[in-house]
Amino acid sequence: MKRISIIGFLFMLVLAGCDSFLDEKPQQSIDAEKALSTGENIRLVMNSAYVNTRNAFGQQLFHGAELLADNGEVYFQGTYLEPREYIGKYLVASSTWPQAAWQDLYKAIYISNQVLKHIEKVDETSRPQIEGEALFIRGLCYFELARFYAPAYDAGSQNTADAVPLVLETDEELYPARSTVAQVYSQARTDLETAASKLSEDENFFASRWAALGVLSRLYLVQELWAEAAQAASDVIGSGYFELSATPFEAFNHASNGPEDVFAFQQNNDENLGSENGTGNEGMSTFYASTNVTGRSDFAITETLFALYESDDLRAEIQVDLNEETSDEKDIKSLYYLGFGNSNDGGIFCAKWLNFANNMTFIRLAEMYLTRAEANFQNASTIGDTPLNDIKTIRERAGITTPESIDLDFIRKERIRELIFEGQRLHDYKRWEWPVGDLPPNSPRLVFPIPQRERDVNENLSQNEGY
Amino acid sequence: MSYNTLTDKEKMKSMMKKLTLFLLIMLMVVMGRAQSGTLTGTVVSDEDGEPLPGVTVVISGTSIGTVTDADGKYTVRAVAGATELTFSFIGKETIVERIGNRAIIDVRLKDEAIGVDEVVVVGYGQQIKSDITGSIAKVSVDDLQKGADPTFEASLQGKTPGVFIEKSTGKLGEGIKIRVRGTSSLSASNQPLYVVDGIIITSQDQGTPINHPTNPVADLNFDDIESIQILKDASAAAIYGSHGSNGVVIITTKTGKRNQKSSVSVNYSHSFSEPTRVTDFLNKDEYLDLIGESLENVGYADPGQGALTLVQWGGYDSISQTPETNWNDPIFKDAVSSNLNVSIAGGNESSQYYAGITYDDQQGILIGNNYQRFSGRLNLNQKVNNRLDVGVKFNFVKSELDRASNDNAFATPMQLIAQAPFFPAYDEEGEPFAGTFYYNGLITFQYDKNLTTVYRTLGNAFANVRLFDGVVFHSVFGMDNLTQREDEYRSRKTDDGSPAGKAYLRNANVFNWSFDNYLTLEKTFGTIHDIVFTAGNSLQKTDRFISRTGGKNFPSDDFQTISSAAESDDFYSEASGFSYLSYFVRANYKLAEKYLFSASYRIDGSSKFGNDKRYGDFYSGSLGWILTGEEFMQDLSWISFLKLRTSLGKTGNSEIDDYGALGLYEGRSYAGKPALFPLQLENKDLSWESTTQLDVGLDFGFFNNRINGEFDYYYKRTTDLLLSRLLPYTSGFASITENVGELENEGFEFSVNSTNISGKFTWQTSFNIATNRNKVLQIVNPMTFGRNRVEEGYPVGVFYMKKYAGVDPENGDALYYKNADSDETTNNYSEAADQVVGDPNPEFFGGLENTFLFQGFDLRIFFQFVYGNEIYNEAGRFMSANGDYVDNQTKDQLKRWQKPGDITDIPQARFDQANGTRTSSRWIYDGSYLRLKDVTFGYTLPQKITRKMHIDKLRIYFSGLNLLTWTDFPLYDPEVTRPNNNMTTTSQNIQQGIWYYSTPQAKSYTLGINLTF
Repeated sequence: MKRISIIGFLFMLVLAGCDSFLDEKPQQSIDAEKALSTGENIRLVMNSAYVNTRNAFGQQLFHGAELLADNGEVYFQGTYLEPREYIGKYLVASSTWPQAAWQDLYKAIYISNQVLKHIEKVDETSRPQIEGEALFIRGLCYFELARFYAPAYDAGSQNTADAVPLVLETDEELYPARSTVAQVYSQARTDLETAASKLSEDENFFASRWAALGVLSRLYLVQELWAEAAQAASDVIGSGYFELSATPFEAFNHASNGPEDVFAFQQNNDENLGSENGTGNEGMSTFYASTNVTGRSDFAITETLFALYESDDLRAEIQVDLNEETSDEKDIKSLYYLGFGNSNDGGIFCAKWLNFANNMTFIRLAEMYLTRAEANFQNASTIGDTPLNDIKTIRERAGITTPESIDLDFIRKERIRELIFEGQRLHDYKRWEWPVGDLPPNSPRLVFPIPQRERDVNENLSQNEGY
Repeated sequence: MSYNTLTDKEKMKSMMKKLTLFLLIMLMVVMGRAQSGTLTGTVVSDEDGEPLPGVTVVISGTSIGTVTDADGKYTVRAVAGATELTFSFIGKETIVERIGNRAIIDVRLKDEAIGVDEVVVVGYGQQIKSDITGSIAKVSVDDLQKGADPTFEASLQGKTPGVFIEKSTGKLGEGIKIRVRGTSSLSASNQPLYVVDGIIITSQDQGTPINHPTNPVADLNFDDIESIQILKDASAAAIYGSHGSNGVVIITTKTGKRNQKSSVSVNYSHSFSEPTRVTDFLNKDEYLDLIGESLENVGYADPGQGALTLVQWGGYDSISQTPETNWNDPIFKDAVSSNLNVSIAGGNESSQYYAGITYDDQQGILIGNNYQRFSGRLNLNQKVNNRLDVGVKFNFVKSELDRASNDNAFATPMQLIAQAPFFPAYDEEGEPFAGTFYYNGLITFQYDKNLTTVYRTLGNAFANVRLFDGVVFHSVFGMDNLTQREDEYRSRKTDDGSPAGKAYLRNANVFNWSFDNYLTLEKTFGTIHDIVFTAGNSLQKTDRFISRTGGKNFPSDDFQTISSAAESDDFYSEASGFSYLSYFVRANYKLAEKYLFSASYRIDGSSKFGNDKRYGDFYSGSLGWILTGEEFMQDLSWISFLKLRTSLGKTGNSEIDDYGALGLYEGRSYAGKPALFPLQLENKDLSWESTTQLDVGLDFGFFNNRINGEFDYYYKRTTDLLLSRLLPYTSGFASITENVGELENEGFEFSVNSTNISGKFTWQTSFNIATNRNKVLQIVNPMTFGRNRVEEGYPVGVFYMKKYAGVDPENGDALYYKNADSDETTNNYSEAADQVVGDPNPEFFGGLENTFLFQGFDLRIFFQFVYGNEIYNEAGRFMSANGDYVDNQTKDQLKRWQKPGDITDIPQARFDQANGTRTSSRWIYDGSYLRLKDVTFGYTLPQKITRKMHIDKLRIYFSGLNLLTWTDFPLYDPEVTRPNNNMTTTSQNIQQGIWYYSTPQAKSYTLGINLTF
């Protein structure tokens, strides 16, 4: 019996006090409550909103704005289906890129809403900046959602078409319906204007006041609020924080913000779009570059593009002295070059997006000059400077002269020449009611579908025409 | 079954020297004691009175013994104190004879009764098969083919009813899908639990998410396995409670038998493998014709100039300059594999041992895909005294797997079939040709390294204490240590490694331990009440640690370890874990040898669930009635055994992410600044998914069990489904893990074994077939993952897409049905409604085996079949897309529409215009197949000859694996799941029946030898 009691004792030992055995704590994450408990943490939560926003623009939206507006400027020689859908203008409701961008933008909106909800926990000194950033990201996301997923804003009408759901809280159980184009623009404008009033002027990593004004100037252009657009652009130009780089090429590919970057999404060697370490491989450079570092060579540039330029325009200069054996990415000195990546087949490639570790320029100073020129011309005003002078500034840097008399069409084409492949083209075409090839500017094929997956889950969402 | 007579016991001369030392040591362990006197006798078969050669005769309690000669005669020198002789022969019942005063002991050995009295290992114990009330399939490893593939799971395919086994592709070392009675969960794992010698082992994929899942179960050495039992119904599995819903695979490893003469086995085999089938694509002329036409049709080339334009794009001036390549050629290699296993087993009354080492060197049919494994095992049992038995089992494994890239990468060899046939595979210097339209994956094959090395240690120590009559206390401590290292180098010459080389190293360490303590009580009260009672508890804990590092910018490809990298390219580590705490009881009661009652109950606690919902109850009850024990059956003498059984019970599933119940923010970064990212939503109520299962079965044996088998009906309903319920992205999250939804599985299983002819010529047949019908009963919203969908009223994973309606004869446009209810078609893809267009789940599956024995010859012919499943060719939009792009096309695309009036279902070729190339039912095929999976022909040398060489048994055999496959599936091989990178458990459960550049299975020819002495 003694042995039985020993065994019995062992048994009891095993059975007793074991509930704590089941306590397992995650080590890469912290509890949501804790994450939102201090001002320091709220700052860190805000940081992650930039990642999602950057990922949407860098992976799907810049491509959307350029390739949906493409009329033969880009020859796609890669293998992904998604760019072909953009270029062919045959998106369907289940297309993956519009869905991925939607997911990222709404994640950024959620994070911004969470930050705004807990903003009181941030100390008063840092609070305006962080609150401004949250409003900036939210306003930017809604502006972009409305531009891609809804019929174009029409300055002369009520804009009652369905745009996207407006979510301004953090309740995950919401099944919102789509708000109207007018409502979404109005929210974006309020957010961005409030952001501009709160954000710091000398922030150079996160969003600054100038970033908010830059995005606002785009929104004002869409709404044809010419004076506001000219003023916002002029404020940025006059801020003294930015200067045009010496040559068009030097405006791009900076590891930290370049002199011309009003707002750029940050990247570095360890955290970026497009490097191989498991995070994805769909950054801008993945498609545009054809170098020894990034060799995919997917977007070859065609003669159609170069026809837009005068012969000695630096913005159309093609560098021809590079080769696969000896050349390095750092040898590139022009905006276009003969590719020397592994699969280039001798094509011409654009040097605006050379390396995934570089910052991703989002608004640069040159755009502000072009915006001011266009808005002033439309408004018949000279806020900041005359349209002619602003256009001259841009063209002089490109090494070409400017006629003494310019019209609206000239200003618009200058904008295309300067900003091509920077994610603005489709929106400008729609604003100007320019057709894309055979498609009229209001073609449903130039509007993203509401993602099928989202409509499967939320039955309150209507679909866009044509899907 | 009696096939055992012919198994793995033979010799290879060249190995003898190496073995000598090993043998000497091992034989010393089992040296006998002093001897005196002799015992002689004759052993004959009870059935026909013929002498039996080769019967093992041992003095009980010693290792002293001999085997009978050709006339069935034996002589043993008796030792002092010898009281009993044990006679054993495979296929015959072992008998023990008291020696007494006899000097001559003649015995008659009876045929072993087939089936019913087998011992079956169940959870925390074992049972006689005839007493079992649950549904358990037992497989003897001797009946499995061991060919080129050293994973035992694949060889189980088609052997047991209701267990569906599918290799994901023909790539080596990757996950194998096993479904016991259907898919019962959507977001938790559906793979069965693996229990090896009583220890739950790590069976989940531990590999990098950017390649296909790996298979930790592949580390188990085929040669060490004694038997495999699969617990299928609730009665059998409920003792594993939370782990039981997907079935339990219980594996027992070999151990020495009590009073077994020590014997050494040497098994060697050599195999040659090739793909089961290679599908032809367009040759150069056909390709240029089709793609050229495609270019001309859209104005990319002038009329008649399409082919020339195409080769000019490829860098040639004229068509005549271009070479021709069949890109299937560089994809596959002639694979040669070999396997060597040496083991020794034996035992006396108090000590038994088994020791074995195995070396596998397997080449895959795919270039750059090879697998090597070294395994060693030592199992020891020791009877310390009349009360205490102790033992240890220890297994060490090292494996190395050369991997190919995932199937969605150009670097994967199978994607070479997309290349245009007018490019060479290699240039004049023998380097992979770099000018192909798509990246030439041969560059990766030639210069990259992707090696997965696994070090695995499985061990357990156990003690059984007989406390008093019939009561035994069992204690088992087990551990499973898995270290998986993935070592990858990407050369500067490849797309992924440019400009100067990249290297990545990933380490996963998983330590899993368990400690089980339980009491068993076995008692007979009166003469008719037999009781077995089991109660105990179990602790299990798994800790997982993963680290990664990466470097880039190497001096040259000569340097491939990260110490030579100039820049960092990745740094990462993570730690996680989970634990279970369980209590269980089970009672079996047998009344009058014919009425069986069994009940079990288990409480499980898991760290994965919310604090308030950690514990779950699981239970089962079952009844059995042995009709043949009744008086009224005695007249029906042809019915030798008949048992009716039924069970009902509840099991659980908790195989979800470790911290699914918590609301979490993850630490990340934004370009060098730390950030907190909202990762997942909290669900305090998250708890067990449970499956209630009813099983009704009939076990039968006719004509002295010469025909025996089982029939089962089951119905499984899974409730509180662990589900990553999709949320609108507007909520900020993609999903939340919840207990919502219900699904059911229902099916029939039937198996029969028959000894058609016995005697000198023996012919046995086994057949099994099973159906399973799966249906989602309730779910919040339909879920679509790729092409597969979960929707109420349908089986899990049905194909959901537009329905293809062929081609408009007027203009060659692809047409789609507008919606499910009408015949109206449209050429506007977006106008067509998505609908359910196919089902990847099979209607039935099974196997048919015939074995023939004659003199020393043995022949096994085994067919395996799967019927009624469909497969979607995900690569159809590239390879069967009427020349929409530069991808080479399948031959059927030549039938494209060319002029008004053409009646065909291949649309007009229009380069890059997506005419009919969007996802649709156009590429759904019947995936049914019948396979001649195993033909094994062996010859065992007569003992007359082998005895002279002091060899107990020598057998040589030839074996063919997957020799013939009959299927309507047009591509390579129909056995595919949906291997992919970056898959979640949910997407793995739902995505199935997808072919995507999938490597075909291997067809192998094996020559082997079994030697025992």
